[in-house]
Amino acid sequence: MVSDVQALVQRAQANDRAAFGELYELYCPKIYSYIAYHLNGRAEAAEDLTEEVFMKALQNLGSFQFRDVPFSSWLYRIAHNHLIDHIRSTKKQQSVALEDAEHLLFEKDRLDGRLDRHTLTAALSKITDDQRQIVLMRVVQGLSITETAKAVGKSEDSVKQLQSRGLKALKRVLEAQGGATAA
Amino acid sequence: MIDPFDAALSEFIDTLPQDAQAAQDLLDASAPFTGQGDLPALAELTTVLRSVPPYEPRPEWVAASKARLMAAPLLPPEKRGFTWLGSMFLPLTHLSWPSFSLPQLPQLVPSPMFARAAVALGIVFTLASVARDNQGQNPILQVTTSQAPVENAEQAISSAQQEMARLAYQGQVAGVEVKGSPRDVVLLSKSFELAEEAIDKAPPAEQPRLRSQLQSSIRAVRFDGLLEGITNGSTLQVAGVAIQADAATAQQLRVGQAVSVLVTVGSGGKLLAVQVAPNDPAPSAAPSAPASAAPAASSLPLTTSGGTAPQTSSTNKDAVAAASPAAVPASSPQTSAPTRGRDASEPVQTSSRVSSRSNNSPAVAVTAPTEPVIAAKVDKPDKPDKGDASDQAPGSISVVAGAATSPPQASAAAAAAQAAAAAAVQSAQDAASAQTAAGGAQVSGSGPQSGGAQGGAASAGSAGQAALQAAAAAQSRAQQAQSAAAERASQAVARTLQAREMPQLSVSLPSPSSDKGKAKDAKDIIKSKK
Repeated sequence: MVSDVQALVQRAQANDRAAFGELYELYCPKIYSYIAYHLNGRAEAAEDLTEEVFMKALQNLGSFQFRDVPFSSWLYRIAHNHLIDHIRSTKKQQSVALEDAEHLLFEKDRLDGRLDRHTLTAALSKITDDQRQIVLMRVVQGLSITETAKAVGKSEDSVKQLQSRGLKALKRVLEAQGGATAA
Repeated sequence: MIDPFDAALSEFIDTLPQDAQAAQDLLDASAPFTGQGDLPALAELTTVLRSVPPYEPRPEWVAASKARLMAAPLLPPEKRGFTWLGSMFLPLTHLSWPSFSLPQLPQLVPSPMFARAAVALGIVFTLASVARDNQGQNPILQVTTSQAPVENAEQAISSAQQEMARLAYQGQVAGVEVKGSPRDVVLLSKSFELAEEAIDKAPPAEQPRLRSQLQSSIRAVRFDGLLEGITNGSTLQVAGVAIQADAATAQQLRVGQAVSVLVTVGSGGKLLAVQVAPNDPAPSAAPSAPASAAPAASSLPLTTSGGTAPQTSSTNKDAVAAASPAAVPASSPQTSAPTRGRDASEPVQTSSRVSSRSNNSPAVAVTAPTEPVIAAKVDKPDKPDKGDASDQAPGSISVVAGAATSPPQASAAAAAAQAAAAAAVQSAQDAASAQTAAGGAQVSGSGPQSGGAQGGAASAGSAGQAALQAAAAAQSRAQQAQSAAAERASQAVARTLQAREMPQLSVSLPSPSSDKGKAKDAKDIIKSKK
């Protein structure tokens, strides 16, 4: 997998747009999901930001080197920085919009008591940014500890601590909200 | 140090499969966190979170987005290391100068910007014109450049003439020569030099007129000084002033000699010697005046008129001399001042004459034609015929001064004093000559003035020696009296000048060897006059 990604990146760096297309198809759902969790599930904003992230990646692909960080970490770092810039520019939206809330209720009813992503999104908004970032990357996105550490620019031990604290905080939030957890 | 709990949880997350059911099976099968606090609950939570379906983009958006990315142009890759600088200066690189459009003429209403531009242009043109002028002259002044040299030359000529007029006012002698100092001569030379330089810069048409104007001014100046050196055989260095003279004249002079030089300013400010006269005592003495009176006469700033001093004491060998030929006109040898030694209080009323009585009191009256009386008298000993010349002073000098009101009067008084001193010396010399003529004969009791020498006596030898000694002593005293008289005469004249309201003030100056009675007489004279 890693070798395939490395080959694709090298081809893309050689101005192979098809290789970059493959990289896009590979990482676009993850980046979109990561951004969508941070944006409380707003699909259009997540789409715009995701496209901008990949545009930045395309423009700066020549400066990427595998010896520093994995490509996934480099891509998540771009996404996170761009997300921070976007949140700063549009003001942080702590609360869920009305239509989103209605959608959450509808989906919650439809999922019949199981934890859905909107409930999770609402719970994730209650914890800190660092904890949310680590929990999303590690648990939801499935990045390794090394990739997560490279993406957030922290040590692996710090990532493990943040991961544990983030999960405990998220569990408390979910218990407080009465949300169901998988039994 | 990492917490074992965190490490175990991290390992569980790493092994957690992406599929939700597989994850739940792993959790149920392994139950890895039994009895470890929150760890089983957190593992269960992670399994639940992993089972939550992620947000998925719309397929149509993914296709469209991919298409846009495939068609997006690639910018040139940024250089590593200074990317932040490139991003910082990137906006600057996209800057472009705005296109200035000049306003149309009808819109050139005086605006601050237009006024500043006009002023700036004016300054630039002014500076450029000044810089273009190599001579550094003000271009505004160059408009009248044709008149400037002429005016400068005329000013320089005027300055030279003023310098000459100043010297003439201070030291003109008989309207012919100008007496000055070496410094005056140098300044005058410089003035003429500058004037000639200014004339050279004047237009050629104006130069003849300016030169004639400059040459019309008097430029002859006399000054005294020591001859410090002769260079090139004809250049005299007198008191630090270089003067061009004839070679023949220069050969006749010797270095260290006091000279009186009449110089004129030649072309280029050069000083040319018109007349160089040694200022030594002997050569400039009047023909009939005693030799000892010559220095005083030559040192006085009086012009010579060629007169001869009357010899009024031929019968008794009392030396009577004029202070100078000018002070004693030849046509007025009248005698009017009865002056014995103790009668010196009587004012001398003579005018332009030298008087002397035939007795033992030679007196010299020196007057200027229109000035009050200044008289000097040499008093002989009262009894010169006793033959005791060694005990007697050769005479006291009395200066009787009137109301002297000008420096020439003071000079005349000093000359009179000098003449009186010369008379005293002459009397001593007469005495010596009498002894010499006697050839060792005895000197009669009539004194040296009688001139009679009688021989035959046995004591003639010793008497002659005594007479010689007396004559020598008299000569030395006469010299002392001469110097003292000159000084006291000047003091007397100064006092006279201060007492201008006193028409006839007589001051008696006794010689150092005279008796105190004469001094007392002088005081009595002053008291009586007061």
